[in-house]
Amino acid sequence: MKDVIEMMSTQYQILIVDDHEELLELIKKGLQDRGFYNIKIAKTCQEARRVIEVENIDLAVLDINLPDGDGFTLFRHIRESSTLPVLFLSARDEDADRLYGLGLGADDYMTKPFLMEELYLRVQSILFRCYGMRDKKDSRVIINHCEVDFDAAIITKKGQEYSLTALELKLLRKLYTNKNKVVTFDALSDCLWGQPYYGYENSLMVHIRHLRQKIEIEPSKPKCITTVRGLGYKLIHREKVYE
Amino acid sequence: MNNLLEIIRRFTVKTLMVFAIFVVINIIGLGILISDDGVKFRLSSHDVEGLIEEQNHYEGKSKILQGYEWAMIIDGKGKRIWSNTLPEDFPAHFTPADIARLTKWYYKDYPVKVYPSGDKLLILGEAKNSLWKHGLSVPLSVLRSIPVFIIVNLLMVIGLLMFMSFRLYRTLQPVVNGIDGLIQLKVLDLPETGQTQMINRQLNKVSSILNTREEARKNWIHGVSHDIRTPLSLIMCHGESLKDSSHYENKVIGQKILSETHKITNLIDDLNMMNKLVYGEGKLNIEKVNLAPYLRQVTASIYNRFQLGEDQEVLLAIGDTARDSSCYMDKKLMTRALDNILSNAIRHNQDQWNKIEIIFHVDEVVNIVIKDDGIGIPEEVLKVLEGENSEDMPHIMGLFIVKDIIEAHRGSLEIKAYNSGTEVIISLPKEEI
Repeated sequence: MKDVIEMMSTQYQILIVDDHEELLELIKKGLQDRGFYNIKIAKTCQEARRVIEVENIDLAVLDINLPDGDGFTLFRHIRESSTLPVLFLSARDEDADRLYGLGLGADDYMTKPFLMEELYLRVQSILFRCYGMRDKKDSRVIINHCEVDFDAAIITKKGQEYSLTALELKLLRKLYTNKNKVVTFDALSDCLWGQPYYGYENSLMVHIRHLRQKIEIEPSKPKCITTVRGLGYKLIHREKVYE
Repeated sequence: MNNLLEIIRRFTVKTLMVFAIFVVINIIGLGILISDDGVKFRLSSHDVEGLIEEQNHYEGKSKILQGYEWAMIIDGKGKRIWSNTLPEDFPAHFTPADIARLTKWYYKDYPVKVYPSGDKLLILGEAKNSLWKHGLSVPLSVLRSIPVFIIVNLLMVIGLLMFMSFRLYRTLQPVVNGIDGLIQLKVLDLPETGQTQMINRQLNKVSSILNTREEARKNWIHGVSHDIRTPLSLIMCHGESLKDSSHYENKVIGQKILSETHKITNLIDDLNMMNKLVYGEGKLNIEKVNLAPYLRQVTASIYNRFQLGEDQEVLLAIGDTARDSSCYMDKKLMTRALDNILSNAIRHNQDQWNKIEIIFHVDEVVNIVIKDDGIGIPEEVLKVLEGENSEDMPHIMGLFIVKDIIEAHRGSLEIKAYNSGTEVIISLPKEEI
């Protein structure tokens, strides 16, 4: 196996609207480095409206304080004629602004300063929600020397295939999405059953044990799905590539 | 408001007391003045008999007559049988009509006192215009109802005092409201009329000045917070690029840039938070929070943010009785507070710690105790938190914000320092705030 990074589909066109030129260029470069090659930029509301009319934009990232208006008004204008997904990216950090933006119908709201990786993940998430396309690297991965095919719900360990039950699949996907981070018992219980953790402690333990049996080399000494005492579980994962 | 009522109550009571004291003093004084004991010798029946029988030879005559202008004795037939410095126009013989007049307090404008002994009368006369006497005829039924009159009058006085006090209270109420409003940094618009117009006008002025300063301060903080965010975004983007580079040194630099940028972002957030809490900008968004899952999430986020060593652990212990407990809080603010305490425990102990325990239990209040086995919190920090000021005091805005957040939730914060660690005790009310 060799390490390869699968690139996101390049079909999406993303519009970034911000009056700060340098930041605009940095965001454009950051998203391009992460696989979004079709980036359009605009520094004013007027420019943004023109781009949206002319180009086939799939997602817009809007600043709020713009020289010829504000992002909220621009968003309302966009919504009059389309359901284009929008993410607000603003220096306005007040709860009122955030709630207002989301209340208008925006898909997400981020405040500056921000991590480019976070912006990328949120953009990706919105695109998946709206257009159903997912990064291919997420469907087939290597976890702990095992090949995991999320679409087929199969783990291949040492040449042997193990089917995942629906709950095991959900569990593994949740842990993998939050890989290398602690996922609380409550979050897992909510993911699997939509219920509070108390009352489902044993069920969760059982499913974790079954999952470990399929994915751990030594299930009695788990190295992949570790328990964090009193809190939850963590999937330890180093990026490898499915070949 | 309670203070004002207390002031008015005391004023009323003291006024009544002063009134009562004056009445008593006056009654006593008047009593002394009008009593026979004034400057005159109190006549006994023995003295009356003695003077009537012995007249000028009576031993106590001078003493008896002291203070009187004249004296005379009239026998049973109305004849004057003895006199002492009698005015010249007095008759030698008194008719029954004269006697009747004598008994009516005055004779020829002389105030008189009449003392009978057998069939004789001893009459003592005082100087004209020296005494005022008045015959009072009061039906017994009226006399018996005097106490009632007194009580009624007293009640009327009290009622009047209370009414006037209430009027005073009403008059001062806007002033007190105005002072309360100033404390809460409200904009005042007190009516500039009536008895307190001068005070109201001044209070309105003070409110306007404070409000202007307040707006300027808020705008400054907002402006700084807002304007600094875009440059920080640029720094963060560059830092991230460096961190993602394949060159090791660039990675290290990039990581450092991101770390410092996070600190600046946190400082800005602290500034905004302080703005909200101390100056009351914005309300708490109170919601009922199930505490066990909430604390698990807070603890998990600490794990996810910090690279803990293999022998380091943040352990959450939830008491059996606390599993299903909930609390009313502004989740975002409270998370901020807990995150601050836990982050401080990790950062300031500088890897010299192994365990941070978060103990959650519920009795009359919700108790969250965070204990670490690190190097302990410096004494100066505790002193500053308790309000001590000095030139070299450490800047601990984060801890002040934690304190303000807890107090905004009507809870309490206690920090104990030991040689081998620190204990932070947060108590929160169970009921809705």
